[in-house]
Amino acid sequence: MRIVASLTVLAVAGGLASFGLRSESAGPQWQALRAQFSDQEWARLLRTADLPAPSDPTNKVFHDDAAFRLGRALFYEKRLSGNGELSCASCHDPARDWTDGKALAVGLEQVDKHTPSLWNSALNRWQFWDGRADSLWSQALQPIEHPKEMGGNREEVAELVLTDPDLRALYLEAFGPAPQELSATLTAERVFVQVGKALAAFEGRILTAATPFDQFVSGLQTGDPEDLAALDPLAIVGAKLFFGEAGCHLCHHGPLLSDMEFHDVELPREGAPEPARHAGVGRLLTDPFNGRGQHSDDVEAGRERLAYLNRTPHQRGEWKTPGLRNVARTAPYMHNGVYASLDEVLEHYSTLSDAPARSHTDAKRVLEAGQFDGSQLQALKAFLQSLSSPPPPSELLPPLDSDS
Amino acid sequence: MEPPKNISRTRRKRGIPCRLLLVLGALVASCSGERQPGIYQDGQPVRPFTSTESNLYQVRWASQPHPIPINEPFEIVLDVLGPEADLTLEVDGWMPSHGHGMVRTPRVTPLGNGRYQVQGMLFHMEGAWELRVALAWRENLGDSFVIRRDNVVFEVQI
Repeated sequence: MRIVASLTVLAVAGGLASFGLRSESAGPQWQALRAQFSDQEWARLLRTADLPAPSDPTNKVFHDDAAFRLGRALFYEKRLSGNGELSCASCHDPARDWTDGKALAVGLEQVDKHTPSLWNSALNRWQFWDGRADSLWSQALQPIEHPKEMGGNREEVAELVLTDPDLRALYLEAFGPAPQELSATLTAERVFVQVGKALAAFEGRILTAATPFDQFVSGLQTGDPEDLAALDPLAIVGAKLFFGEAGCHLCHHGPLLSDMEFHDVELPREGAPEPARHAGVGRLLTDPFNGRGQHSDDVEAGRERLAYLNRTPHQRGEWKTPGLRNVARTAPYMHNGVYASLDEVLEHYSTLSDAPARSHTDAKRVLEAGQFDGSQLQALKAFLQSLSSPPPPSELLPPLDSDS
Repeated sequence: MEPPKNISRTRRKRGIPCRLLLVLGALVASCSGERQPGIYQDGQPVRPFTSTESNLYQVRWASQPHPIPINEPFEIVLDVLGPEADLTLEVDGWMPSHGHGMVRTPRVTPLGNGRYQVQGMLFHMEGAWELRVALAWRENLGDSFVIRRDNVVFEVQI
């Protein structure tokens, strides 16, 4: 009996927790809002609260201040590139919310992907649009050596870090002396990995601060009238659509407003779907810098990350669901930058008029056209605009002596 | 709590008395704090035994944690009750209204006496899921054998 009673108490307590404030202690403003949302919509709203703190057991310097300082210098360091003119910040510009404002990224050449924003990237389950990296540090290494992006190489990067007086001082502070007992090739690879881990220590702090929407959700939890007033009425209508009838929450949920997985959202295309996540899984499992590889600081944790990955034909055409924090400031949109504005994105989901014809192999249509009217489109846009956080703090901006 | 001894070793033993015993056993184990492989010691609700498509086997399960969280990994423990056989189990999740399944392939580990641990489950989207359990076993036919298959589907709302 005692067990049954305890379970009952837990169930009741859990129920209250999931719906926030006790209704009898809330003011009329909260009461009106509570009546506006269904139980499910309300629960989905509350699930967006509390952005988690990022961590990465495969990178033991992820939280280290010295690694952060080295990572900050490296992030804005153009000498990592083959032509000495491109840094990470060339595409991930803090003044543009860590993206570049272009439909398709341009490094040494134009590539076929849109530059994703780095906001909250440390909280991604997978990195890149196809998820071909399982950590920020392994992600950071690929653009440096990609011939169309930065066009650098690990040997020159290692030499730069170990010989440039400023970078060497930061390196020694973060990692101590470079390994002497290894061959030049192995030393270069080891230092290259450390460069990735330092960059991840920097990028791991690119986290969004509270937004008007977060303040509103806090108000739903506490009843604070000032917090409840943080979202204008049009954005509240948009939130109700987003977390309800429109079904946006199916992929865009939780604190990041992303399920962190991969979907085909029927973007316009010619021909067959791209390999996308299908290829991404293959590359991830064979990446020498993945979390279960020799450079991981926690191979077991890395193995666990990759242990259950599957690779199926359905993954063709599936790209990662982006988080939506600061989405209003990170146009263009989608993995290929096909839409120039939020209006175009919403129009796509409203009509699916530009969706490709379905092949017989995947005839079941997952997405349905939302058929939003003009006021609904405006409300959804207002909600998305309420997800904008303050600009990056100065500690994330270029060092004063940087020419980036 | 000992894993149920009659599972998979007993032919066609099923019904309310057995079910009650199993659930009571789980509650006793919770109360005594006894730690055993599996998850029932934490007092999670256990889905009632459900017959497989062929009615040969009965399957029940519980999740850890409970309720199943949206887009977070979880494990389940399955109990299989029915004819003695060297069963191989495959477990998968499916969203019938979306036409897709999980983004992972879970790992099934036999714990003995008809109990199986399933690791690596992830329901990454809210909505109606099916927990699909496929059973396969080898049936000897004198000097040859055939592979028999069976399955059971549980509806799960996330």
